[in-house]
Amino acid sequence: MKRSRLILLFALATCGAQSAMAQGWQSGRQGGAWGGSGWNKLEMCQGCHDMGMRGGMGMGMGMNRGETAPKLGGQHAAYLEKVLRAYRSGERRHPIMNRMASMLTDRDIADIARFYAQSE
Amino acid sequence: MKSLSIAVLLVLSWVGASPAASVSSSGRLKAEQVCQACHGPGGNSATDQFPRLAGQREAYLVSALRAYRAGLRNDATMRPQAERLTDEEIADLAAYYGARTGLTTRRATWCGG
Repeated sequence: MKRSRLILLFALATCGAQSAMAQGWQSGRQGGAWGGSGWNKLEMCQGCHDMGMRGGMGMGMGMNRGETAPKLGGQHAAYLEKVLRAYRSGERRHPIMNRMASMLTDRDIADIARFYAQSE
Repeated sequence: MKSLSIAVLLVLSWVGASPAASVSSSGRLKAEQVCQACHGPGGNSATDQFPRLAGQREAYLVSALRAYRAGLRNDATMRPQAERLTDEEIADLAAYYGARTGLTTRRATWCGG
């Protein structure tokens, strides 16, 4: 438990995440290549879904040992929206994802889905 | 000629006995017979009703299929499919789809993206 907390702290510290996250959270970043309302909230997704850590990140937040977050890049937008809504309503259950999705508006969900569905 | 056919037989029996070959072929067989109808050839589904599986993390596919099988994830289509699968078949399918090309990870936006 203690060790996984340390891993989480380490992950947050990489790339100067803390300051960037705080900044993004408060101000958002409008006018960039990707200016949707879900933009800064993407940072909530990427620690687990995009950081290529081997074996995934348990993070001591209720994930099972060896459980890993799915890749989302290239997934269908409509499917991502459906799943995020199901997590938000509690229809689909996951200790981390229910909390994450509860912070999202409909607009955020659409923006996040669009971001991941786009081919790079 | 005779030695050639013996050599061929030897190679075939070696291939048949190799665990790696049998694992991937049974995963492929099931994927093509069952999963492909919705998830598309190689797990690259053509319609947005069904998620892409190609290139998905193997460990995630295993936990998702087990959750469907146990009823922890409720889906009218996936649950009956997953209920028919053994642990070994789940592992084979996850290995098959994990090895395909498709889904990607994105560069983290806080890393200068």
